[in-house]
Amino acid sequence: MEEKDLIEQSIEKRKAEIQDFKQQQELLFESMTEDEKIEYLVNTYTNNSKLIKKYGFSTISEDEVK
Amino acid sequence: MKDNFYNLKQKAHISPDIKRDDCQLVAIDTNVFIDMSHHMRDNKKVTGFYGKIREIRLKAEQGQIRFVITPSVLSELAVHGLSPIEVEFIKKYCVILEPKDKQAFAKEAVSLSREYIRSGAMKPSKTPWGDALIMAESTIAGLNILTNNYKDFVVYKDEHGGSKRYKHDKYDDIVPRTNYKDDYIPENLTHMNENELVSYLKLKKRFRALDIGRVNYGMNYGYKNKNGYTVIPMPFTTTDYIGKRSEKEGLWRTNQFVTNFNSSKLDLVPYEMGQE
Repeated sequence: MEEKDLIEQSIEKRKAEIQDFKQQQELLFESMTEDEKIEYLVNTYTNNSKLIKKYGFSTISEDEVK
Repeated sequence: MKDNFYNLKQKAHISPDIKRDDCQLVAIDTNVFIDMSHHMRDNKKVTGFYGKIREIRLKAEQGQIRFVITPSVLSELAVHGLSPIEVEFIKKYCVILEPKDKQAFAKEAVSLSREYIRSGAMKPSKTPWGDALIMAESTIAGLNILTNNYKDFVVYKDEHGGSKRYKHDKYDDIVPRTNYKDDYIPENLTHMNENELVSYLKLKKRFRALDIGRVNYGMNYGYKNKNGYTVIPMPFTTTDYIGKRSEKEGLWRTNQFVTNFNSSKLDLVPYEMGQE
């Protein structure tokens, strides 16, 4: 198999993984109240912050973009 | 803002000789991120869709574009872990949108997402929460979204508050955006009272993230301007009429980093079928 095909295969696999997660998240969101959604997102943002710190990613806040 | 920009350039490793106006921040959705980060492993000539991906990524390498990863996109990418290639891509060409006030940001994101979903015109089936959240987060930050899945995203609110999807033959009406006045101020503006105008501008602001540059294209998905070029729509600028008016009223969030951005800077070549 050519390298290009391998890359495309890995990309499709990656997209499929994420699509699965999105579908699960969709079901989860459908069952949540507004407050639970907000809490879920805050937790997500907190986990993101840990990831950002771990990898040393550059960040920008919503205020800095504007 | 100037200090912020230079701090950002330093943080994002953008060459200091790149002028502010040349650097555009644009949000990308998950699929575009994956395509963009995985498809540049060699120097072989790539045409067609992936050629476009490469072109846009080259603009990032040249410091003209910086991709913004919104919180929802990052969480989607991280759910199974980030690959080394993706980490490298983020470090070189992206900045992560990290809410300053997580609680307030989440509250607004949920509120906007609900509004997007309720608009009900993005596509025949229901708009997923995930996509709505990405749009909401981008909107809060005042960013456009780069996606290859415009059918899930594009919604346009007309002056009567109704929503509609752009048809293919309408693309020339929305890209390139050279005259925001015509685009965003309804004909009956002069008949609006102050409250109606405020509501109108708020509505527009909320849907700004739906100005989307598409990187997926082809005979059935042509997203081209009159010259046949695939373009990324311009965000609002600080100099257009609405920007000035709303800034005065404290309603409008203009994106300083993309002021005077001209889509021609991208210099994308027209796509021809059969190039794949």
